[in-house]
Amino acid sequence: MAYLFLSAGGFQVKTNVKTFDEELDLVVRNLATTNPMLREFGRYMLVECKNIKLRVNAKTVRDFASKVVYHSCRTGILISRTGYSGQRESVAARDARLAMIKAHQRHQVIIIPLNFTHLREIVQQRKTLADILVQQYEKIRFDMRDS
Amino acid sequence: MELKEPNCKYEQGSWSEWVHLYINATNEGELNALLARINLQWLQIWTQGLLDEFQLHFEPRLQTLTPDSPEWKLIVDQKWNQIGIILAQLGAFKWARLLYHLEYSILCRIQSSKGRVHKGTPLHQIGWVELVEGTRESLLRSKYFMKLALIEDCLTVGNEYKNLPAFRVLRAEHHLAEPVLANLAKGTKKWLRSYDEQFDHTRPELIYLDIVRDSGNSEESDYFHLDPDIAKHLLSRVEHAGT
Repeated sequence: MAYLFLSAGGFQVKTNVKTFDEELDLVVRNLATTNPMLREFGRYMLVECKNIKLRVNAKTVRDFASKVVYHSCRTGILISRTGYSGQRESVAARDARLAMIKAHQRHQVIIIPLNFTHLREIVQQRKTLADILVQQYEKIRFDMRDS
Repeated sequence: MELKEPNCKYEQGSWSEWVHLYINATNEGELNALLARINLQWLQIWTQGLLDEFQLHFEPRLQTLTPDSPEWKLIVDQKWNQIGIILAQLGAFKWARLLYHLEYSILCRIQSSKGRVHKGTPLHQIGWVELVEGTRESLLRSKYFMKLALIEDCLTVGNEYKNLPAFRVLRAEHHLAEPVLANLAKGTKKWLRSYDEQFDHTRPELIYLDIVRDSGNSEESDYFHLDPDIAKHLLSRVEHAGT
C-alpha cells in the first residue's frame, strides 16, 4: 500500500507506526496537491490492512473507526481481500456497511473500504488511487447503492 | 569509412537504411560517422518507428550477449544514449524519456534470464532528460531517477558509487548533501543483507521504497514512479501472504 500511496503523488507515508498501546499499519500524510477532492479526507489518514479471506465484519470496522477517532483523523482506509459484510445489501445497510455509515453520522469519520479488486485496477493503471478513494468515499458518505 | 551494409535491402540514403546501419554499427567510429549525417527532420517524424526498431533488434541481441561485453556496452551506453541526447537537445523530452524508459524496461526483462544486470545508464539518462527539461515537476522526477541510478551504482560497484555520474548530479544539480546520499548507499547495503528474493535485488525501486517509506522525510517522497511490474509484484506478494 505504501508504494501505491507514494506513486499516486501528494502523499507521504509511514509504515508500521508503533504507539504506546497499538500499532498502525500505515499513517498517510495527505498533501492533496494533485486532486482538490482529497482535501475532504483531512491531513492525516490511517490505513489498516486486513489480509484475511473472510469479508471484513462490523466489529473490525468499529474497532478501526475508534482508532481513527482516537487519533483525531477524519478518514480511515480499510483494505481487505474481498470486501465487507453487508456490502451487497440492496434494501438497507447492515453489518459492516451499517457500521461505516454510523461512524460517519455519529463521529464524522469516514471509513473507506478498499479491496484487492480496487488494488488490481490501480496496478493495471485502469484507475488512479485518488479516483478509487473518492468513489468509495462518496459511496459511504451518501450511502449510495451499487450501480 | 564504408557505411553500406552488405546486402542492404533498404533504399540508399533513406531513413530506414540509416536506422539499420546505426543498429548494426560495430564500433564507436562507425556510430559517430552515422551520427554526423543524421537527418534530424526524419528523426523527429519517425521517432516511434525508431523506438520500435530499437526494441525489435536490440532486445534479442542483448539476450544473447554477455553483460559488459564490448557489443553490450556499445548498445547500452552508446546506441541508445546518443539518440536520446539528440532528442533532448531538440526539445523532444517526451520522446527522449520514452526511449530511455524503453531501454530500462528491456534491461529489466533481460534480468529474468540473465540475472541482475547494471541499469544505471538508462536511469541516469532519464534523470538527465528530466533535468534538462527543467520544470518543477520534471526536476522532482529527475531527482527520483538519479537516486535509482545511484542505488544501481551501489549494487554494481559498491563504495565506488561516488565516482559515477548519478552521485555527482545529485550533489551538484539537486544539491543533496553527501550524508543524504551516503544514507541511500547504506540503505542499499542493508537491503542486500535482508532480502533474498531474486526480483527484489534486480529492481532499485524496491530498495528505494524501503528507504523512503519509513523516513517520513517530505523531501524523500516528493515523487514516486508507478511501475506496473513492481506494483504487480508487491500485490502478488500480499496475496500470497494472506490467511
